[in-house]
Amino acid sequence: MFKKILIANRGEIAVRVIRACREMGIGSVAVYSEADRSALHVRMADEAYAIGPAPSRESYLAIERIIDAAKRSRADAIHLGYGFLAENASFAKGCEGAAITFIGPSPASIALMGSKIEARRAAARHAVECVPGTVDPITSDHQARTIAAQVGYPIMLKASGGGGGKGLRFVASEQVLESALRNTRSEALAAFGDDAIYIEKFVEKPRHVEIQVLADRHGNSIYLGERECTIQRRHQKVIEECPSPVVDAELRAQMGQAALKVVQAADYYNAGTVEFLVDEHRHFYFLEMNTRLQVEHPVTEMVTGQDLVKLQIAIAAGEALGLRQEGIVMRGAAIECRIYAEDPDNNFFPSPGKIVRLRTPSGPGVRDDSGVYEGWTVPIEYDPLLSKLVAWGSTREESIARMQRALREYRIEGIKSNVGFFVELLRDPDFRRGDFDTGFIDRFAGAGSRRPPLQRDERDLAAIAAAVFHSRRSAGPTEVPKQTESPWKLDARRRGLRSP
Amino acid sequence: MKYTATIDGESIEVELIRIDATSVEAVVSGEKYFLEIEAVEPGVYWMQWNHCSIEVSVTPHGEAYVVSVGSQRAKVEIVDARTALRKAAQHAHSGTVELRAPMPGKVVKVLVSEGAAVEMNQGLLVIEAMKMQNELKAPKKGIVRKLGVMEAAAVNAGDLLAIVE
Repeated sequence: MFKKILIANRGEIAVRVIRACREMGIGSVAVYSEADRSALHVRMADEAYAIGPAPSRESYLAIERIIDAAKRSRADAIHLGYGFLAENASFAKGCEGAAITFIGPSPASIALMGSKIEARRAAARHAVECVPGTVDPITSDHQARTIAAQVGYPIMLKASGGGGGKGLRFVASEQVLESALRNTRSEALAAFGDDAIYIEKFVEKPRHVEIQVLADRHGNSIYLGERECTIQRRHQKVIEECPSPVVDAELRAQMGQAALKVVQAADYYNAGTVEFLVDEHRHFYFLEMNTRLQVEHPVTEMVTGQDLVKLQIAIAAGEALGLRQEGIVMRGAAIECRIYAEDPDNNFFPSPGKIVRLRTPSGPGVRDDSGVYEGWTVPIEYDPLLSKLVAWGSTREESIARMQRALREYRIEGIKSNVGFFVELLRDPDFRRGDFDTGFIDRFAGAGSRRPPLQRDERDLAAIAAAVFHSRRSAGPTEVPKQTESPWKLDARRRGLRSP
Repeated sequence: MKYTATIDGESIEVELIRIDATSVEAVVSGEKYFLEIEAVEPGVYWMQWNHCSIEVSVTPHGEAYVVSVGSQRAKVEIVDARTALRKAAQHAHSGTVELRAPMPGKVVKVLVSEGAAVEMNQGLLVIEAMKMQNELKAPKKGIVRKLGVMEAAAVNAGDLLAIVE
């Protein structure tokens, strides 16, 4: 087993990996940019190395600086979390060169699945159905018109090197195809340095369901159920669940088998996620494979009882998977809300700044994977994810009720957050029935805030509290109510006086 | 002490008749309130009203406050009666509105120059934070009297960006 792992990431996921290391008795090394000097992951790790200025490309994306920190700290493995360099084949290769274990799949698997086109081709070769469309990049506008007509409008244009919701375009009809092609190509070139794009049929009322897989280097592979990731905004997941309300045991087994075929096609080892689109008739199509730990992995952990990060580390250390497919039992239901520093009343614009007050929820079935603390200033440079709040219940209804309760316990002051937005969303009857598709959030948010206006008494109490605060503040420090002395202290003092 | 509280744009009168260590007597737009109150943390008040247990937190935000009651949250401005009168008089004379930065970030683009005539909701400048750009719009129709920032400048929440008259 490894002695020390360097975590080349920040925020909640770095904290998550540090926790796994600590449970396994492995030393943890944090890296940080200048903007993250006092971040939670830096405080929690056993060791910490500064790797550069705030911009990611000079710190968290700077391959040489990270490998250098790994060498200096004598770490024998690197965990990448998600995002940043997690799906970078050259980084994985760089680790090999430096004789440091990359906790993840081989560089070849990353490269194969990193190309949407190659991934589809590999899946198709192993009889896994993809969304109808092209496998090869389209070469001309004329060809695009022919293919689009074959698969039928509406279609999606996708950048070959895209991901994370970027480089996608919806095309409703042939009239707008030409301009859409032009724009998608130039965006793809600017964002990914590659203007290759392909066409996919747009699946109506689609749901995003993904299968968690684990494979070791001894030929064993299993799936750990699905995650429902349909609730998205701007193609970014917002709420995830395990299990999916539309997946039953039969469909789960079919999708699990398909996912394992993709594992085989990619010659894959370590943890991975195979994403599928599921249509109204519960027909599923392979979308892509994420060759890393997913943000939403905790819902699978809550329901299967497995620790995916520790399993990743064990697999990377060469251990055989001790789990068999029959041993994977799904128990109850879990739901995750991604708590962001953003303003739901202002188009979800990021709201970085100082967290002046923080109270996190706890109690039965609640897990808060946080990367922040009270008094810390959320930097403006990075993704505004503060924490992932997860609630488990014996049924979906109970997990939602617990999430509602936990959200009400959550207090984040000083910056704006989407906690209140989730409280409203979880009340939505369609959501509670499990009846939604990927357009859900746009329709929900587009309908305007459903937050009921303040009640008369709430409004009056808010005004009184603010007036009391204001009067005490403007009265100056002398009239600020003194903290009454602790009775323990008073008692000790009295005893002190009494003693001879 | 009498105050005018503006909550989400609505102005109401608040009179604090008596405050002591454990209770508050107040009148809010004619309605009388008698509350048990305890500052359980700085800025966090536990209140008991008609035997309802209520927690209210008050966080200063620029010159105003963000007040949370349950899962509700509102922006509250508090002005004492005299200041309110003075402000109202000033406002009537000058009719200027200040545009302040809603969040820290970097000014990536200034879309107008000083002296420009702008329509209400016309974009004045673009601020970037966490890789997202946000266009800040004119709060009213008028003339841009002052621009507080230049392109590429870093701003903090509450910084003066522009004055429209």
